[in-house]
Amino acid sequence: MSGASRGAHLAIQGLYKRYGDVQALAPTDLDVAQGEFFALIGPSGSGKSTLLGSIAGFVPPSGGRILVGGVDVVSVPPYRRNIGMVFQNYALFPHMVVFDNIAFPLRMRKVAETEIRTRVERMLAVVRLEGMGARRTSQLSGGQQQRVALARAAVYDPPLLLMDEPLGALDKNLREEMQDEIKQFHRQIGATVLYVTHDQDEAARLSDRIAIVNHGRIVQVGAPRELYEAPCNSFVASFLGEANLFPIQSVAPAVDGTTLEIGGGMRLATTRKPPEAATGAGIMACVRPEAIGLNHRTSAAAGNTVEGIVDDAVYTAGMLRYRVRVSDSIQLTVRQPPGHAAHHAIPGERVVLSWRAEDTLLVPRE
Amino acid sequence: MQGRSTLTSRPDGPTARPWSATGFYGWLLAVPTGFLAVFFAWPLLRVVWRGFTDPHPGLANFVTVFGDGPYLFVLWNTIETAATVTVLCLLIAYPIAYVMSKARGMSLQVMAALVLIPLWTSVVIRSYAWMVVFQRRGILNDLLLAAGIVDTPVRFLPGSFGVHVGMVHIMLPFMVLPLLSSMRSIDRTLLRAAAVLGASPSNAFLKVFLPLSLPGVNAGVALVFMTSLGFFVTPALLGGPRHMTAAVLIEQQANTYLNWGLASALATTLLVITLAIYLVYLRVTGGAAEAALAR
Amino acid sequence: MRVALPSFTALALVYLVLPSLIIVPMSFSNQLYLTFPPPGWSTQWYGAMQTDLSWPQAAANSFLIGVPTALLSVALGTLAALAVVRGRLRFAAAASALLVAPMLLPHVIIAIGLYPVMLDLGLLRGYLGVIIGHTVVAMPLVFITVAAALRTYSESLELAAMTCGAGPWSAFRHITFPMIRMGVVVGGLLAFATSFDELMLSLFLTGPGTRTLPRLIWEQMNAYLTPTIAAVATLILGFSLLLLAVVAVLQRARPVESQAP
Repeated sequence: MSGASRGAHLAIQGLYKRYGDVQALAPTDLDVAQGEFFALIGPSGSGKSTLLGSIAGFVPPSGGRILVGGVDVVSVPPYRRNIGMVFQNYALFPHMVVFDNIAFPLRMRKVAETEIRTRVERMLAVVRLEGMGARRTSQLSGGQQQRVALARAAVYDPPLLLMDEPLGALDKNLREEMQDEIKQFHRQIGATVLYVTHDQDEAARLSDRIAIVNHGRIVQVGAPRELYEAPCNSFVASFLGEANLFPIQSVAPAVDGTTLEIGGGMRLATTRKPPEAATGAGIMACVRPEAIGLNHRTSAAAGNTVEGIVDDAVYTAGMLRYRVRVSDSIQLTVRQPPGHAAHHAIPGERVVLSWRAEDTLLVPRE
Repeated sequence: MQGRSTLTSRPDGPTARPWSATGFYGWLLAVPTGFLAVFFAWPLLRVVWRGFTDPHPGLANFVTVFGDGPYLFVLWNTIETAATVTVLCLLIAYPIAYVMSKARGMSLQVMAALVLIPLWTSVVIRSYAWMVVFQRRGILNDLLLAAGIVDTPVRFLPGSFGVHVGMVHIMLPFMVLPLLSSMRSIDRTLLRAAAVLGASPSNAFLKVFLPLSLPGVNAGVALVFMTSLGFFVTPALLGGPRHMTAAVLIEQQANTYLNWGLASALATTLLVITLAIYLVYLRVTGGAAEAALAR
Repeated sequence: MRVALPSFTALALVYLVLPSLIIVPMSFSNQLYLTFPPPGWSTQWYGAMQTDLSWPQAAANSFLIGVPTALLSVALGTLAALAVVRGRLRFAAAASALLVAPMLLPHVIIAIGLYPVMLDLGLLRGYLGVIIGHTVVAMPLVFITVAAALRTYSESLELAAMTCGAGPWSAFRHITFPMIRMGVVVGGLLAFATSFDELMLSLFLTGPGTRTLPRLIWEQMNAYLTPTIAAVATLILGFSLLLLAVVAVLQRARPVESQAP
């Protein structure tokens, strides 16, 4: 169980799917490198399941190509694609014990029974279920069922492994534990993994790269940090993490950058260059809640400073989250780790918010 | 499939035809539907055709059916009987289903068994049992005489009373089951919510439970009415000539009088009426017909 | 209300069950005429049933027709259920409406339609003709029960089997069939029971050699009401209840089907 080079290169070329007049997937191109852990995230109905279904072979695409290791598999039935898949509800065979579930793909491949025994035992060890082979799947916990599903999908060393929201049915704590296990699992088997989820934290935690899908098309592809720091539009900015987004009324050049008029008499400074000849109508300003400092009084160094009144303050999972009203129509979200916060504010308190000019991002409105 | 490869923006040749299971399932379906086309749809078409052509092409058979003769009366009697049976079934089945929908454990098991047993008992034998009950020296007359309600045995057979009792008996489970399934799907917290909001029990029933059970009522009524239209055994045994129904008449015309043209015209008329109700049934149940019938 | 409703239900349930059971004591009567309760007991009518050879022959015919009908119905009904439930076919609702229709339309129409068809095919009064006729009206029951069984579990089991390398036949043999086995058996028993009780098609399609039990009862009943019929009816009743019990046990002893979602 070693060697990270066993994964296959996956290339999607011009793949699209229509149901009558409805376009479930717009013509899509995508490249996933050998051994990469690649996540598809997006709201439900965004087309990510259609894409995964096409790769697995359940959804016949209306056109385009799916190259696994350089071979177009569009016309190949799912049972000859040699792709592994983990389903949302595990899809373990309830009339078979754990061992037979994992052995199933090997039996379908007419592998000798002695070799099946060795390979299943080895797989059981990988997913830490030694000695559980004779159990009924209904006797297992959710996490254990999940591991059986992983083992069954990987026991025949498929070069490409598809995972369709595999942790969707687990509660939060178990989900985080299983994320670490899946990461570990991926390192051990070395297959290319395409992972579908709607949980952005999960995607960021697991993946080398992420594709964000919306309205049947891939909006942006990149490493988690890239997507967070340079979202390509307002949808990506708000879907991945939290964002304060402001419609822009007018744009004016300033000494060291640009000044943006956002209504209510508020101006924001940014070092980012707006697109050529932009009037502001098609773009929005985006400020991440973590980029904003919350103080008792003005700090001189910041490029942006606004005053406001704290509407509420909430403590969740190691973060202080404030909603601060700066005008009748504008409210800002601010997040700070409590230990480092310069000031702990209480609702009703007057505070000063400040952030650097380079932290005011400009994104096209989606 | 051709031509779409232009969208791939790569000149690697045309897109291969994608694999799809739809064609495979289409072939699976072709076998049973083919069987029904030959041994169900084709015979029905022949019945309709024969109604217009036997013994001579034309509308003569239908003129007879809808003319002054006894045939229109029989058709009307069939519809009236089916309607009466449907209403009686609904009135009797609704309370049964209501009690069953609230029951749990052993009592539910017993009630379910009592509803299912008749369903598995031969219709011919059940009609035979009713003959034993209703005959001149039968159980019912014995009881009536013993109780002093009548002085001489009442002549129940042949007659509409026996037909109604026998048909309701046979159709009752078909009304209970759809009612039960729709009542069981009603969220009981809605009734509690209604009570919390100030509805009296009878108001909660009338304003919440009854409207929510209507899908079951619609399905049951359509199912029972449709099936009752084609009833043969019970009216033939218990109804006699005075209470003839369409199915009895058709069988008699074909088998006894060998008047196939008239039988076919009558059958065509019955078919049109039943199909119309079937379409209504499909509409009210929505979705797949087989799922609606799976209780 | 609290007393009225349960007592009404109890009465209605008695009405549902009692009539079928009346024939049991009648069959042990020592009288030629049907009187209830019988003044004395005897098993002479069971003896009469055996000496009149038409009864055993009709019973044999009912099985010779019922069993093949059940098998044919199972094959066709299961195919139909698989296609309608799993096929994602555009015309699935229409197909379902057609497949269920023979059960709901008046059998007399199907009977007078099938008569000339079987005559043309040379199948009239033979076993095959009745078997086909009975399959037309019995198959919907298999279709309904198997479709319901298919709907109890997610399609992802079969999709999972396919990604594991199982072709359509392997996926059916190893996954689908074990999951729907109970529905298939129950559907088959229902199809058999339908054939066993069917009168109208038998009246038109059977001949003297292929006459079934319901048809013979029918003919005898139109001639004279003797306790012999009650004896036959009692045996049939016992057999039907046995079938019902088998089905009830089978449905109780469901395997692991309820997998955790």
